Amino acid sequence: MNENNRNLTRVDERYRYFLQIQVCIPLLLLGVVLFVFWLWVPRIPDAFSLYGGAAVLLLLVIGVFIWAPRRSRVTAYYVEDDLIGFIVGALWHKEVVVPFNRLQHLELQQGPTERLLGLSRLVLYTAGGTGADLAIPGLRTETAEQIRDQVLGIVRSEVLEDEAITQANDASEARHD
Amino acid sequence: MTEPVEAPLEEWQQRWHRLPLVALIFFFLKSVHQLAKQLYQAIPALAGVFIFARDFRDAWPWFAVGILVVFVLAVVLQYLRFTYQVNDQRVQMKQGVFKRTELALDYERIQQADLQIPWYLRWVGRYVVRLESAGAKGQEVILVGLTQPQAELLQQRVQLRGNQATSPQTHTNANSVAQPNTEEGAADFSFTIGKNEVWKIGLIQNPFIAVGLVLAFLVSNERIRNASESALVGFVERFPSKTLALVVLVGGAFLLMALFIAAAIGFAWNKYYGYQLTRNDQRYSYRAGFASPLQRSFSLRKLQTIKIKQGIIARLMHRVTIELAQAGGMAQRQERFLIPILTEQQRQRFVADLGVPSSETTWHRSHKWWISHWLLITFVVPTLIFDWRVGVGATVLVFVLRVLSWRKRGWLINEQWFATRSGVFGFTERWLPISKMQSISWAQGPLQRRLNIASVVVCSAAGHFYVVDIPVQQARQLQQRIIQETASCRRLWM
Repeated sequence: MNENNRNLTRVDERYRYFLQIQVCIPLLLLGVVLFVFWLWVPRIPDAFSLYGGAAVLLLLVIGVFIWAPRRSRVTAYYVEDDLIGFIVGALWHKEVVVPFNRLQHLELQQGPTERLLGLSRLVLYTAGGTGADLAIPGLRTETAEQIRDQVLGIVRSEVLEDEAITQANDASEARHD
Repeated sequence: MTEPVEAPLEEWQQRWHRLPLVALIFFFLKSVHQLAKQLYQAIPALAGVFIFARDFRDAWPWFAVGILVVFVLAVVLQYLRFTYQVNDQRVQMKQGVFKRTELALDYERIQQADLQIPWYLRWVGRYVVRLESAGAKGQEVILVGLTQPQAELLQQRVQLRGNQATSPQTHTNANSVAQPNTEEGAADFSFTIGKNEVWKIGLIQNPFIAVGLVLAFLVSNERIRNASESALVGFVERFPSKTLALVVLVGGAFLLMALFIAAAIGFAWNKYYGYQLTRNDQRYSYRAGFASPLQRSFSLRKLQTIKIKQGIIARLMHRVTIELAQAGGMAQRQERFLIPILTEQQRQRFVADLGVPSSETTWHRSHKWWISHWLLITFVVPTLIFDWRVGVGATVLVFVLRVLSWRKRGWLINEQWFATRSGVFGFTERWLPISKMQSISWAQGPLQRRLNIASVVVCSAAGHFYVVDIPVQQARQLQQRIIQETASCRRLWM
């Protein structure tokens, strides 16, 4: 990882609860379905429902007590003078960097669970790619707004030169017919 | 009807206009094209209607007439509802019969400008002007039936605005902006595709793939396969001997293939006949085309990536194709800025003109672990579906292809450019000006960590560059170098 020379900030602690809720919702729904099968649908063998239920429970325990806390611990970001970066993953590491001078626009997003926890996610878009290039989840809403304002300030104060990056080589021997 | 034919250019720019009447041909052809596409998709539904609606079957001429009337009406309405205005900042247009859309396109946002005299407008000598802006949606304005002065005025505007940002420090003589029409002698760079090269373009664009697709279609679906098989058997039985039938069949197949290839060659010949590329200051433009001569121009300032491609046939002929890619949806782009055929020497000259150092050819390789991707799944899936022997066969085949592909893969970074190369039999090289990068990501899985390798994905406005399974240290250096170059860059990327 690249933490050595970056000033990493971990996302808010409540991001763990968000992840736990995110894990729970589909698994609990699945559990309910299996429970209904076990009680009222005789055609489906009980073993299926019971083993399925056990698997769901196992996944739930792993998700809530192991994955979510760990994932929230390894989700971090850094804001520097001219770029913003995001690091995530315990086993599969990923780091995404967007320089401010390539930023097209940015958004703050908040789902119902996030609103409940007072969290927001900062989503950044560049011209490279169809969707969002970088999304930093689990930010306290005030922090997210503060980062947004900071980034907008930097982008606004950016001064561009007239010169373009790509220019033709003016080699005289290029003349030809 | 506002026919801007005789109107002086000044007056032409002040009002909203309708396109001249000849533009009806364009709308008609466009609608036919769309209808054909929709009908093709609606064939099953139509067949169903035809079979079940027995009582109405006899009335089909009436339906046909009805559809024709609606079609013609739609074309005329489309034409009538299309208006445009040109001023010295932008082009605006309004179109749509029920759903109205209005579009304003600033000249400086235009990436590519096309001037074409299509075959159906040659008899009146009118132009089609196609202006395309950046962005994933790639908005475009198509103005049909403009006179030569009108078309050239528009082109001039685009060139003037497009170059504005770059003009101060460049060597340009001010005239080349004011009088953009390329004169051979005045061009800063020029390149022509000779008569004995044009016919090769169709060949290197791999017409064999099209032949393969037709064959694949014939054997793809059971009903078509059975029909073609029984037709074949019936055909063979008509001959006195099997040998003769075989000779005729093989001869016929060769003839068909030759026809197909000839068609591909003819198509490309028509499109690229008389190809001539020139650069005036920072703007490249090319003229080409036999039936519908086209002039396409593009400001180097807007260049995002350079793609150099060599297919298997091009490799045998020692030729390459180069595409100058711009920002926005790569997949659906039809109208590319293409140099369809270059010899090795021409390629070096052109690439040098673009500012890419041609001497730099030390490609870094991926780790050998890269070869093993997908091998497990190519064994498991066929084994589950067919047999373990099929699985082994598929795995060996994929392994060989992966090894070939690994040998071609590479990446490099020099002072200004980052490039990747891939391919199996041919190759594709893609070059990105380092500081035109949009975002960059770095990834490492558990296995990669054990092998001390990582992957980097560099996103540009014209597609992603994947550098997979390279040593961690190289990956870090690459990432940091690109970030540093881009973040500190204050020059225009677009």
